[in-house]
Amino acid sequence: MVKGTAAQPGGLVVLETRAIMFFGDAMLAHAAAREAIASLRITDFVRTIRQEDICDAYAIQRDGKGWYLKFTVQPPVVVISLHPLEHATTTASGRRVEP
Amino acid sequence: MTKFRCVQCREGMVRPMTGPGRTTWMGNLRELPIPDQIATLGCESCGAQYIGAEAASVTEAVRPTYEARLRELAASAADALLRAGSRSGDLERLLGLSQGYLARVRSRKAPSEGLTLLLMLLAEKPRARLAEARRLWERASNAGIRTKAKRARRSRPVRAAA
Repeated sequence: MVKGTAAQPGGLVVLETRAIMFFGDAMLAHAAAREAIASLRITDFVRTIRQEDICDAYAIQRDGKGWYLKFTVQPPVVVISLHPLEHATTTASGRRVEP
Repeated sequence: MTKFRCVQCREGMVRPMTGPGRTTWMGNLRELPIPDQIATLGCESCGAQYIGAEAASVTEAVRPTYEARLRELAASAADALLRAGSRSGDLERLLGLSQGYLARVRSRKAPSEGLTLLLMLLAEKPRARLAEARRLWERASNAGIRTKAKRARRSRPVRAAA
């Protein structure tokens, strides 16, 4: 469902934080978030975080390195974190992802 | 775009906004002002900014300011280097730029961030760093000559002992 929502016009927004400024500009950050969500696999899933918003966290591979991705699951999909992993993370399926 | 609750403060609604005071980043430059008429997504309560499908128009609208800022930084650094006694042509040669490049930067050409940074680094201590740059190029050239000489010595045929 998340992939479908994020692919729709206006279905994906990215929270602007200092970490997202890792990307060259806002357009590149948005494109990277879209691409990261489109390429998600079930084996990338780390955990669901239930605060006021329900968020899913994933550890993904991007350009050969491990990245952390967290977003809200209710539409629109709001990407809260997208940055290189700070430490090795194990996904729910037991896969270890290195920074 | 439907409105949604801000994930940062969880109080305000996020909606398209226009007007002054909004900024974005491009490359290594932060706090670039977004033109008043360009819409971005922001929280009406805490002011958190969001990047949505409008990101492309924001980037295009901010690019002229970004490039002008790079030109300004590069020109000001080049001025400091010229004031320290370097001539424009010498400076362009040292940096591997074509003749007249720095004049074009002053008028219209946006320099790369790499060149801008290099000029700023040199301009921090103009005399010392220009001398260091010349020394580095000289050392690199001599290293090339030494490598060539070494290769030539190795490939020289050994004369048989009489």
